[in-house]
Amino acid sequence: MPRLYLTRQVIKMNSILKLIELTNSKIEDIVIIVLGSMTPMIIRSLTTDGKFQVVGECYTHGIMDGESLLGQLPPFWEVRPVIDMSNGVKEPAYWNSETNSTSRDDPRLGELPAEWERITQRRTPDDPILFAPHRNKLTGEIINSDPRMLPNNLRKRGINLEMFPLV
Amino acid sequence: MMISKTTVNKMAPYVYSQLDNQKQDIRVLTLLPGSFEDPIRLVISHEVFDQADYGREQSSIDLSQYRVGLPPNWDVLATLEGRIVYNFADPQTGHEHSSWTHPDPGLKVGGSENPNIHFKEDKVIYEALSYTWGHGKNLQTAYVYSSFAEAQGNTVSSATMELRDNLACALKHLRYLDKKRRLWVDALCINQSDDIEREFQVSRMDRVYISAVRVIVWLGPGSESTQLAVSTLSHLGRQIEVSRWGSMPSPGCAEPSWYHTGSVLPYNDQAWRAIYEFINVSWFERLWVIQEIQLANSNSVVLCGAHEISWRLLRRSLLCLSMKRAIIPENIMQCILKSLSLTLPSREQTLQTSLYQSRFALCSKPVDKIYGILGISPPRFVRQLVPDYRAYYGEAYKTAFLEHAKIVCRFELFGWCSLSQPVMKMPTWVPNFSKVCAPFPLQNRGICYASGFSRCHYSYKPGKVLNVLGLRIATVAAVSQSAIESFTDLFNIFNFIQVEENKNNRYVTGQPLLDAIASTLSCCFLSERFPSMGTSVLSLEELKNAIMTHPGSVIKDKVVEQKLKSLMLHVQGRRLFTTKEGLMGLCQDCTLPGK
Repeated sequence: MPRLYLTRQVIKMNSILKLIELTNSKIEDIVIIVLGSMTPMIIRSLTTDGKFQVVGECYTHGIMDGESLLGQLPPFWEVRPVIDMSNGVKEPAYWNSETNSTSRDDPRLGELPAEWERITQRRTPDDPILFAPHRNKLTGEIINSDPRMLPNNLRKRGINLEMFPLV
Repeated sequence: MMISKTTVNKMAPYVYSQLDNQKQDIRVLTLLPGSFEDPIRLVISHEVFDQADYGREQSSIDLSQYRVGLPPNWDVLATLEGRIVYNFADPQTGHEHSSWTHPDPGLKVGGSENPNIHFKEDKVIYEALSYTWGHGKNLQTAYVYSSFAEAQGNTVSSATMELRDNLACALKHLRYLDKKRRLWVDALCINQSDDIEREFQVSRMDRVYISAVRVIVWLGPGSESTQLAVSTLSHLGRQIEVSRWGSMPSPGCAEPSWYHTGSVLPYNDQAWRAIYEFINVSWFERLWVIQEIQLANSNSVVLCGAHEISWRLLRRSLLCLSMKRAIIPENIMQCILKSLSLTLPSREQTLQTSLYQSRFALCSKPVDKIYGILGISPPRFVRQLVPDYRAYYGEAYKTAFLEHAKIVCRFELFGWCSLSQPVMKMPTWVPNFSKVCAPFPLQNRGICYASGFSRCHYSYKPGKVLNVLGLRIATVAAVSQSAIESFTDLFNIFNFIQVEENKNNRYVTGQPLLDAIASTLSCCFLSERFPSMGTSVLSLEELKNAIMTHPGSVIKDKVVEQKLKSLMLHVQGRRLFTTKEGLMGLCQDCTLPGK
């Protein structure tokens, strides 16, 4: 997540891009990352009851590769999606410009917790685009996502997750 | 055959008898013989339709057995119908050659025969009609007999049915002079005024089309140019083979270069016009026909008046044309792009892909945006979604969203939500699958991984509120006055920018500001990110050059123009926004708060 909060720069950018500044103080549109959603979402707080309307998905430059949850990629790394020719799915892959090599493992994720293992499963049409089947060696539970992205593990990384009531 | 007016008056409208759902009955229509001008006479019968007996054509073939002993640059693929084809990519020319047999004739590997379509002996035999209902003007009377005994020698039936023009026209063309023809036609074989029956029949429409001897597509009565269109497209279809990964020349074909994206087709204006008239008919635009033709077997045919073309040839020719954007008249390209949901292979497709491909397809009821594609939707999802024609369609959209989230553990369908095109009377988190305006979901371009490989966490109790777990990122500070509609708008945005003055400014990530703006305007769909797609995607420099050096003017470079058009697919309909934290992006075209 970029931490450069420069109000002056925002104002300048708005004037460069001829954007209209939002002044209504009762309504606030916020950009959120929703776990399990590939795109950031914009939601709108309407009143004081703490509930939100869904404005819609958005492209937000600089946070499209999981930077909000995992931080920026280390130097020399960038995301270069690979296309799985068997189904046309574009999955993230990580290219290192220093070694000129591509890895399917996200360099930011670190080691898999000891109780989890990655398993191989044939993708079915009922599986998500970002499909990462894992098994818990202790409980036998199988999930289709990365256990390092479970809420508890994200909270351990200092991510301040909250529930958003959408109406 | 004469039927006097007095007898007609005595006849009553046909009354359906109830289908036995326990026995899995379907109705089959028998079209009685007659010459073209005779009135339509038919018998409707109930037949036991065994669920277990339908056999799909094999969709996944293990290709490894065929790969044995292949020389370098050769590969083995399966055609759309599952026939094995050997393909050689010439590293020198970049062109492809193909063969039905293994390049080493001494090796005995696999067979190259056409896959068999397996029918059980006692199967119900019928051809299924795929057509459009059209409007309800100009009804034609059909005479319905309760049994063959009644029809025997009798010109007068006990009941009548009013058929819409297009269906009546189709049946007259399909009718044999001297023998009966057994058909399944949705308007007649389903009691359309019985919601409960319709719900049940809709949920097994897939089997009706899979089990048909073949599917007959009826495009309409055609015109003088139909013959030229059919012969042109048949010939084109014979020149190419298509696998899931792309197209190649058909083995031994006369024009081995036609499959290639860049090769020009030797058609004159008359031929192009004939093709346009042939495909610019409503069948290619309708939603229900997607699963009907996607589930059809390879014997299926397309009829236009008295002319016929096999579906496998028509499909190949349309797929071939769809890859020749640069050389095809624009009006034809528009039709062909709409027809991709019919022609692209759809087996094993995810729900969001099916929804995306059918986004422009037309249907009379919004709920059919979901129910109309159940036949090509993922099996676990289909089991959870029981058609309900009596409820408000928004409920079906909500159920589809929740069931999909439960099965897939992702919010992949959020991309269909839009506050500017909401589902009336529903919470704003319910996706609008019948939205017809851009922007369409970004994830279909496969370019966003904002929450990585995480699953969704949510709670929902029947009612309005859906609680989702997430992270607050930023507050929107400003939005552009209007949405981006064409690439002229991209020029205009860049036109405002004092390039020299801002050369050294940086975005919050440290990236040069101008690069960040250009990346944002492309949703980062750039060749730097997709090196393997280099030839079809703009690079950052190309994009910057295009929008800085051609302000407001039409691009001269055809290649760049094509790439810009492709970029507009996911940019169109979005507004530029910034946040108080210095982020920027493209958001939905929604009304500005406080305006």
